[in-house]
Amino acid sequence: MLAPTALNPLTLKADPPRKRWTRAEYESVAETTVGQERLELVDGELISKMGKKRPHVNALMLVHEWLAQVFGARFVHPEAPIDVAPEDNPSSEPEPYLIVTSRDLSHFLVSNPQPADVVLVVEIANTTLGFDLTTRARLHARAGIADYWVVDVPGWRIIVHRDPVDGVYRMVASYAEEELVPALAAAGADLRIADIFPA
Amino acid sequence: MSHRRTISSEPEPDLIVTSRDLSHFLVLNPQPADVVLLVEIANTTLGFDLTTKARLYARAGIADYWVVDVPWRRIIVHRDPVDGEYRMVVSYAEGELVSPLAAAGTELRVREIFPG
Repeated sequence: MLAPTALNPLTLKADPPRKRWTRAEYESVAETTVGQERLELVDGELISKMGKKRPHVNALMLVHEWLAQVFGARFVHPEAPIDVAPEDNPSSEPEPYLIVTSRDLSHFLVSNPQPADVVLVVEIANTTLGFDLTTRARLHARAGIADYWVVDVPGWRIIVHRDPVDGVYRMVASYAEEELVPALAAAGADLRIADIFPA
Repeated sequence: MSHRRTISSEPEPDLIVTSRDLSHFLVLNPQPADVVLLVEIANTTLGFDLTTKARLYARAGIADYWVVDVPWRRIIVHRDPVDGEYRMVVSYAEGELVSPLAAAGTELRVREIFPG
């Protein structure tokens, strides 16, 4: 009788090879049945934005409400595709959960906001924290996005990224519970972390 | 969604309005009876939103279902779900006004949501 043998780790690959998508390919499939799924293109990978759970939805609603009060509803765009750094645009068209632009939506009737238009990007992370803090942070830093917030839903905190230099954020700080996060583009307006995580 | 369909469907509409605020939905999804208005924004998905999704929402008994048809600049309003079908389907064009079933005194002018 054969004894069960352990798999030789050297023969195991961590991941199957993946197809890297270009933005042109992505935009063509987005017009087809795949477009019924909510997707974004980040660094050549198609990322699903579906499957949200209620704590994620509630944090999203409450951050959105606060940003709309501070900046005005027409400056806060939910799930809007943005352009990134010129070298990244062929393989990325991210759709952050929320962005704030320096001009209102009447300036973006046809074209995506450019990085210089974006004063704040907010991602809501439930299961995607590692990705949002690494791949996505580098993408935003290369684009020169001045203020990038990752709302860590299970951790009840916001991780704020600022001062992008050479494709890296030089300031990364975590805010929790009773702490206040000031929006870089709205001095004097502070978000209390506990307010976006209702118990 | 009706129990039979929950197994294969967990739709995430573009917008929903609930009869109670988010503090009532800290853990569980809103149930169909909580949803007073459901909005889908259709750019390339119009056929899907008017057929497969309309049947799904009608079976769930969603009383007011709006499909915002972006290319044609109109809103297609579905009401009166009976036996898994909407018995009233009406298209509102740019100059017209739409009132949510759950907020009868308020009107949205269709043109205002299509700037430019």
